[in-house]
Amino acid sequence: MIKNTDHIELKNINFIVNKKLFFNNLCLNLSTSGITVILGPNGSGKSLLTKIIKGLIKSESGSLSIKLEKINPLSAYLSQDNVFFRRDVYSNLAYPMKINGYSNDQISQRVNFLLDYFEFDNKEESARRLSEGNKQYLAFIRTLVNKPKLLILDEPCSNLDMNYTKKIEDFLVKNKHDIKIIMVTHDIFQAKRLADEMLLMNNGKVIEVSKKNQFLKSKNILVQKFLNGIFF
Amino acid sequence: MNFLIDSLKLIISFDPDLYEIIWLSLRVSFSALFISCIIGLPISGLLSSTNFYGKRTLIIFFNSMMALPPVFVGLILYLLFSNTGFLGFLNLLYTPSVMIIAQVIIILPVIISVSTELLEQIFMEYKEIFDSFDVSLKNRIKTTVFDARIPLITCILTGLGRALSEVGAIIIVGGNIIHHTRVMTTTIALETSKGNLEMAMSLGIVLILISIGVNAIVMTMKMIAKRYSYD
Repeated sequence: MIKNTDHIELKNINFIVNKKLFFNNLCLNLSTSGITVILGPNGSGKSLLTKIIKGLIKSESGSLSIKLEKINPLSAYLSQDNVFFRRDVYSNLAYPMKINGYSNDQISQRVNFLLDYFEFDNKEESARRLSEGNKQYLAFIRTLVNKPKLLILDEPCSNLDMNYTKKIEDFLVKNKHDIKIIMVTHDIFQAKRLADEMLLMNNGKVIEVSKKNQFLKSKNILVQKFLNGIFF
Repeated sequence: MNFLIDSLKLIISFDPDLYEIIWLSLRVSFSALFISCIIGLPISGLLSSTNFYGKRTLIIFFNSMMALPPVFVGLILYLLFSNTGFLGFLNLLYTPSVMIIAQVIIILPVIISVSTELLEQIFMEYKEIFDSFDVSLKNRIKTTVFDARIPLITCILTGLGRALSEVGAIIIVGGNIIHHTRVMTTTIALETSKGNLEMAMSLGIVLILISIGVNAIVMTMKMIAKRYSYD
């Protein structure tokens, strides 16, 4: 049955990794507003889950349905690998708008606004020659160019200093009412600062998904271990 | 040693026969290269950015075609364009046009194979960006080819080298007719067999000079491009 209300729903997702069923009938309903933070140890399936939500990877079976403000939202994805075209910073940011047919004036207005907002001023430099931190920061800015309604971020601040991290966090908090944000992080403190909803994964299974307050008080032994910094 | 001095004299004296041959060689080879790029680069773009049944077989086919003996290409084209051949009505045999066709058949697989490998690497690197921004196939190919433009020059140069040095096919379909289809490589073969080493050596020197010249231009272009590139 097709739902008319807003939802982010994954139903009976099966996904095979190295000939083993990694996601086995994974079912998940995420909140349609605010920030959902996905937590879990390495190899738990966090990045895979975000790629499936974005549609970059097709599951073997199951269904994914996303509706925000009653439509299939424009989404943007930030990967852990910050790949850029062999062009300058400005052209890399302009690219997503250019392929969608925006005029040069519209592109220039939007790109310059974002560069000013995030105080990133090396716009004529080669994007590929930036430091890893600057690349990650630029990749984050690039996800915002098309004004997405669903932002999927895979460890957006893993290489960033305090200054850039704060700018990104401030942006996310300020815009979480207009943009649905799904974000993977290993930083439990960042998760506590930003999350409205928290999700813990382990070995391809969802251990717990709930509102932040509930999650932090969870009786689940794995959640408690994770919150106390004990990894499994 | 005398024939070497005589051959240099021929070059310096701007011998009209010699320069007519050089001009026709360049016209045929550069035309063939241009046509091969127009046909080959979009095919490479498509092969590098799409997955379809038989893609690997097609790549293996183009790779194998790189070793196609030019004499065999000449023979097939001769049969096709001779009076009794399937395309005989076009009256193209023994014209520069059929020489260009022969060279296109010889260098097209080189352009496709070498550039597909290069474009595939760049495409795989960009795949996640393309997927995450839902980039259309046309834009994926355009972006990949545009960003690969500097290393693509080397692929194109490989094709030019093959075209300029080719003799087997064009001697069959062109007929090596003086003032009409005589080019550098066919003249070298003919004049050597006649014992006219001055002419043969002059053309050999010119061929080497062209090769060095083209390489020098390309190397300079690449150095300048690298300085201003964003890689």
